[in-house]
Amino acid sequence: MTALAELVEDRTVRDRSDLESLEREGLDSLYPGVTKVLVGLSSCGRAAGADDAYEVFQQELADVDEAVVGRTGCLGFCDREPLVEVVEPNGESIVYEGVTEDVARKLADAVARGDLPETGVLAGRLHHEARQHSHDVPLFEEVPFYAAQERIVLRNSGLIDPESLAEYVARGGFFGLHEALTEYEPGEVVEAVQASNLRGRGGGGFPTGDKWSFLAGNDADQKYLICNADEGDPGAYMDRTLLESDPFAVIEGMLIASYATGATQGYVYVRAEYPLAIERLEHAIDTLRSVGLLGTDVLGSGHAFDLEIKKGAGAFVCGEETALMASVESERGMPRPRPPYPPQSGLWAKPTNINNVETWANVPQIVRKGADWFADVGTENSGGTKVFSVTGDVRNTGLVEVPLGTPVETVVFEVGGGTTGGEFKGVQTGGPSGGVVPEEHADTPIDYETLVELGSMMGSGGMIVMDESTCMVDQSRFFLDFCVDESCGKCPPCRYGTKQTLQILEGITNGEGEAGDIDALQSLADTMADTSLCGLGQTAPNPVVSTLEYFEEEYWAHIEDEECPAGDCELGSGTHGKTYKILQEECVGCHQCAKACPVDAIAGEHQEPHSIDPEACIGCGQCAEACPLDIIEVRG
Amino acid sequence: MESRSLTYMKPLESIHQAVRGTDDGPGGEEELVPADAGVEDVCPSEIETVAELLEPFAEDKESVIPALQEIQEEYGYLPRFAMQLVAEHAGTSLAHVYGTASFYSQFYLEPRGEYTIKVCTGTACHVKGADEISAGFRDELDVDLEEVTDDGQFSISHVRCIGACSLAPAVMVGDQVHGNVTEEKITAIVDEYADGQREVGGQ
Repeated sequence: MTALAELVEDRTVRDRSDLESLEREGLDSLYPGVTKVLVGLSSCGRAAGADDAYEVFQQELADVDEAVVGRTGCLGFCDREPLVEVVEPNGESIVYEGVTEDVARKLADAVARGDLPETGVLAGRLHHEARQHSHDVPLFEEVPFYAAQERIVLRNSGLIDPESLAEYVARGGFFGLHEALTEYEPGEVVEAVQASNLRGRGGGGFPTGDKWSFLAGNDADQKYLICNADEGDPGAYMDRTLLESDPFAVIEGMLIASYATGATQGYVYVRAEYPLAIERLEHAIDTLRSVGLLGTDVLGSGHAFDLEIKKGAGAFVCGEETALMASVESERGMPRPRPPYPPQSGLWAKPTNINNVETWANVPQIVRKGADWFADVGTENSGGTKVFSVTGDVRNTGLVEVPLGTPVETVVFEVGGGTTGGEFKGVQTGGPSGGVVPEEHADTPIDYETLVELGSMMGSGGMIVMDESTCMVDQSRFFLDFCVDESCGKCPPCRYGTKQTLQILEGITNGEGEAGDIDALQSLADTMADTSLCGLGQTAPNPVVSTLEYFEEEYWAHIEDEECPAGDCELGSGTHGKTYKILQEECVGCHQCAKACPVDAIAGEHQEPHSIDPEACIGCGQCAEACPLDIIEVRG
Repeated sequence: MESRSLTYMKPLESIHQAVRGTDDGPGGEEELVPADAGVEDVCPSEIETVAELLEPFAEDKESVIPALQEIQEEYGYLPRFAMQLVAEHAGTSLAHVYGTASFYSQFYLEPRGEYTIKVCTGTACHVKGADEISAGFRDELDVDLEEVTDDGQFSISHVRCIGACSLAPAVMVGDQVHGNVTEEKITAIVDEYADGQREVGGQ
């Protein structure tokens, strides 16, 4: 790494031959002709102990001439981290899972001996010119987690060093930009993106090319581009991983758009909760500036574009584009009514185009491989793939990239490997703005329209798998609690509506629900959807509406029977949040309580102190009423 | 804003000497400096420190958030006098700076512990028991949310998703993520940082 950074410092990249020389260096660094140990060092890997593993490899292999140690981003299979790939000189590789410090020591030893183990393996793959694998390991395409995936956005993740420009170029990076700058008119680039059917990956699904055309059509002297990396949806981390694993791709997408639309300044608005993403992005921007891929003369074309990072300060509403722009301007991040739309009047009242991280990362591939190729990957209405973060009650958690149109069940059962044990109940998509895709609709192909029809939405890509033990009322309560915190307070429908909805849901999960609650929830939801100022308030009731549609009986069980069928929320803890205890010293063993108990949760010998099994207790309180000595204590 | 004892705050040592406009400090007795001490209450050297932090930023309203972030990086929170200086630098009012700072959840107007344990309460962590983890840390450190331990070392906050969903439940200390936290691991995590043993970036 150090060597490469020095190397890049005093050079400029002005034309295709400069790119080609970088490409050669990148290939040498990717495939150095000796065994290469690649440690996945994105946030998930680090949290699982990849830093320690990396250090071990560096120490143990320092004196081994036939091996080098490198860093890379995320391979997506997060719960198998730390992941370490060993690439042999012939291009065959094995990815090992769970490589903690101790495992790393053994593996380093094996690498030094040139004898790779075939245990602890996630999968093998073939790099470079390798055609077949001589080791007895499954290939990536044979591992269920990867088999149904198609990696366009994540193509470099877990393969290149996210801080190496040369390795990015060796994977075709910046050739798309070069092609756009030298072979296309700006308008043709816009047309290509329109033809690709690329739609906004932040969740809205607005056609990206159309957005660009609005900005291109505005002849203001100053125009801006913004990368929305304010990934606030709890349960989603695609953008974080992408910025950590392949930051150059996001920037190349923005550079191509700057040429297409005439914008000369860009901003990346990124959550401050993502320190590593910020670090790698900063590094990428510095590198590109130093070689002339950002600045006044991009790739020697005379086109000017520069980029700056703006760190968020913790506000979910800033994912909304007008609030985001207010925050970039250092104001309170409050949305404003549209129109005017950003391409008319955006950042500092200048025309602005905002796209999400994942959207930007798709662009270089569209230019390089063509709009038709991209459009063919997805559905009729939306081209390409979508990255999801699959979490919750699912066996394989991680980042998953599948072509649009892939059925929900493929993601849950094939890629995700099914639930962790319980019966599958549904998938929450779209976070606090989305809803549930229930089991009976699991065959639905994933697309913007199909999810909206089901009452959910694509959202930014969070996919939380829920099994029978998840209480749907409590799940709605969780999201509303989130929205109450995050509502900026500007418009009353959202400010009061979220709070009122939350109060009703809390009542229902506490066993204080009333018959009128369901109607009240519905009416609040309609009002908020119709009258809130921005997307946050308009969509905040979605989790409620969606669970009411598919799981209304669960609401009624809470209200009428004071029971939680999932056994999950406060009601479902079985005791209405109460604990009963017999004072052992005073119990004479009269057995009255045990007789009164409807669930046989009390046991004890005749004339010996009795006790209550807290697991079995449903908190009905009948024992306390029956006790002649009044020695059953209630807590809670 | 209620005045609070700040003597334990590391960066506050200098403020503590600076209080009441003297560089000599209040002498042997430790005098308490309230978070709402204004520019008139702190000594010139403290003002200089903030002025140096502000120097790289344009004298414009658009610098407010980045400037506040820089100050919080230094002090761990936003002392009132520093917000006054930001307002002056950016050519705006203290009310505007305060209004901006109070809008965002990551700005603290009260001092924090040296380490803030951020318990993730995002969806995946919620499903996997973030509530219990949070309660476990509060028990371990004997503080409530957003409070500072008596020795000034720790505070506990909730954050909405740190993006480590596959490692749920997760907590973040500084810029370090701890995944798959169980109630059994809580003591070990606290011990890792106790007495400033571990350097962390960020807040």
